[in-house]
Amino acid sequence: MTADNPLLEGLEVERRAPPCILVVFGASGDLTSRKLGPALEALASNRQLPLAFSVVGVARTEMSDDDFRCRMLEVVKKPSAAWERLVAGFRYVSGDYTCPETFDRLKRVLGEVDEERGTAGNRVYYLATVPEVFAGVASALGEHGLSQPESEDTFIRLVVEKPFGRDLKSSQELDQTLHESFREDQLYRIDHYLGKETVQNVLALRFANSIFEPIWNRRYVDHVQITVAESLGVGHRGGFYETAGALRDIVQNHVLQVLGLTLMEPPATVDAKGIRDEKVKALRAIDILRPDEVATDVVRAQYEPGWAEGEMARGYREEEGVAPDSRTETYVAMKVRVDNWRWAGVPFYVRTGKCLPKRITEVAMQFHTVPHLPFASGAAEGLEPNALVLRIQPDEGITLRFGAKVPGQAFEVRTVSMDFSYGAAFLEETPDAYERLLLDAMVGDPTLFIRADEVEQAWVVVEPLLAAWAEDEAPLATYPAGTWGPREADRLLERDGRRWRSP
Amino acid sequence: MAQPVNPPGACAGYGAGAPPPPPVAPNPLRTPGSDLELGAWRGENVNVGQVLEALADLRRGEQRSATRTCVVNLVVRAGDDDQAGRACAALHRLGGRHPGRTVVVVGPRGGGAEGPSSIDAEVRLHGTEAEGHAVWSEDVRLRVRGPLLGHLDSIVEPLTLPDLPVVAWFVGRPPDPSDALLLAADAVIVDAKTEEPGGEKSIPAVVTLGRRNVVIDLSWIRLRPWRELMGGLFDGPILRPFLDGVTRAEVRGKPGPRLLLAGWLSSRLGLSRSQLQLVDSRHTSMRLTAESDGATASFVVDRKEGDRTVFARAEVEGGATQEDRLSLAEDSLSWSLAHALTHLRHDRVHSQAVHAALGLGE
Repeated sequence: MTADNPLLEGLEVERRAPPCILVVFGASGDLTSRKLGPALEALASNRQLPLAFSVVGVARTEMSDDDFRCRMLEVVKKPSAAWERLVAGFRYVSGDYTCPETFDRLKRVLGEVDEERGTAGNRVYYLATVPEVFAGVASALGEHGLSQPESEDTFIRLVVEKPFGRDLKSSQELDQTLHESFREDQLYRIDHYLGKETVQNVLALRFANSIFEPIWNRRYVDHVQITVAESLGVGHRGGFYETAGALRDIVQNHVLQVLGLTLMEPPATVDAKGIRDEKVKALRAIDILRPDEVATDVVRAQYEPGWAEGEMARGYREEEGVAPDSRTETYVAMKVRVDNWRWAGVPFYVRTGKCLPKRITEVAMQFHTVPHLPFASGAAEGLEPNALVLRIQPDEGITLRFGAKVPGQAFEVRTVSMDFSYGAAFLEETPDAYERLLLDAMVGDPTLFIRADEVEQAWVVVEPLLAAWAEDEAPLATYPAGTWGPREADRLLERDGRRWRSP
Repeated sequence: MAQPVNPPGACAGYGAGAPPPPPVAPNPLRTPGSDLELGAWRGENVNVGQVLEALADLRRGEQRSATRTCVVNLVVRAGDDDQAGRACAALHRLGGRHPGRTVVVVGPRGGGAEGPSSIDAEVRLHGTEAEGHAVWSEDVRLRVRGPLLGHLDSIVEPLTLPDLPVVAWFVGRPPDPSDALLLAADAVIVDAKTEEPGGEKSIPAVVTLGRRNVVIDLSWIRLRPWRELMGGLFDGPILRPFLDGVTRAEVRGKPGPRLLLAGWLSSRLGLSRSQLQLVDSRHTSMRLTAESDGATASFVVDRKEGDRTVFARAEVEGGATQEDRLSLAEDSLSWSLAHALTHLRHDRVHSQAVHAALGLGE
């Protein structure tokens, strides 16, 4: 938009959305009040939303425009004046997503808002609903003539929250339905992990520095550990979690996205096509496990009662909404092999779980040991191999582990860490992931959104696990809440002469 | 000779009263942790080597575990204590500040070089918390006398941290192009709106500086709300067509800001001198008159007397109106400085605006 307005040129350091309406389906839900509302408030406070902007909420809950406005004002403790002024123009449409009348009313309201606010027919639809209604809403938008722009100068986009299906087949079916009403370039599949600054920084570290890329391969890297750990249990989301599990909830999307950025080849350009093409190529290089390999290379487990963060935590099967004989995994550890020139022979160990000792996401690259230690026996005892750790959350930064001489007369070498903390280097506010991604969707930058072929390939990777587990009746491994997972996961690495890091 | 130094004094007189209703222009720096002075040293008639030794001693003596993560060397060039005090207060009000080393050089500018060369120095080590990490930063304050004032690059270069950009902030009027400190600077911070004698020449000075240095103009940053609001009024299909039909522009304000905004409008919209009217005024405002499809519209961005809010209003004759407003930061110097230190790069739009301002012949 700024390119079209010479007076805004040079001010786009903080990007600004073009005139548009954000239509939120599921406007009375948790995601809207917890994530979308605060992100929009921040964008409004930062003046990244134009005057010609509005939100139209759609949900089953009966509410007036004013009720919805009140609710949106309450998404932050202290709403800014910019937010208050913006919210005053928000509209709400209540109705069932299966009723054509809901979409008739929506169409009318959108026309009114265009007239009042000058939003020019531009729309970003956001599916913040339960996944079961994704396809129905998309089809209804198509049937009511709301899915395609009226002219080349206007845009209509659809943001789809994960999960993108429950398996390969349902994901393909969802895509087919979405594509009946929307072109692929109109679809913005959101994985909020990609909106995190430090996930994007994996790209900066790898491709803006010449010292890391030459060692980012099998010649120097012994193995890689990716940890996505959550310290909390499922809480009140037991009902949902029963239908998902750690594999669908975390591995299929967050873990594979981080893995993709770690594995990928340098793109020719850091744009939507360049990045996403390379990520798909990387995901296609992942070795698809055979059923017997699922048994040996993958560990799933459930948390049992245990002490977590100083409190006694209940076990998964005792959580609200969870079946007492549930076989849903709350922990997955797996060994991933990658079949390409860069990574052949380098195992990637990934683990994710709930009720682990701390909330942390990191990519740890461990390098080969030196071929020969030219020191006297015992001088380098306990010296760890070099490691490069990218900490994605919560303490974003980079650590390089190396050996250094202990001061003194004797020649003794010990492992030390060189630590870089983003928070200490840059005192700037970093935008929340949803803030970044919402603005990207409005601006029309799909780089940090997931393309259909990426989703499909991610399902291809996890499909054998789902199939094998469906057949497997052996008791699930367990781990006490507040520990780093089951003993079986330790054995997965010990078998290869390695061990998990303590992040 | 090392001796304790009083902590820097807080600047009084900022923003009592209820917060204003419109949004405050966002500060690019997040709220920092509390700032703690970890150590200080003072010496009279010293050399640069002694200052460097004092810095090293302070660091060595400090037992707290802390990270030194630096992103910038900031050199503040102040003509007198008053300027230095204001500059330091603004830097401290940034809170955690941009981590790095700050060297404040105090001494008359463009004269006063009589007598022997000498340096009095004060060194302070600060600790602040950022994201749970203790972060160190250092302030060096040098009072310089004599001919050495003409060779400041020779004392600043050794005091800068390696591999980090050196930013020279000239408090008051912009420097002469021959100022030796410019040789040591990667970027220069100036203020086109200076109250000093000769301030009316600030725009030509900024243009000259821009030929050799990356110039960041605090006045240009402070005018950002005016520019944002005026640009924002044309957002959307109803008012956008008027942007191609601006027939007249009136800019009011003090000489520096007035010329900057007039130059900006002229360079952005291709307005000729005859279409621009410049009026002297205490507060800055802009009014554009535009036509589209036979309709006339006015676009006004104005700041009311005694109010820290900038209002914007677009009005199509007999038709639509649009309004917006923005509160100015309570502490405009710290706010603009934070912006300047965050975006250390050439600003093409500013460069075009100052060049256009030169041609306005005020």
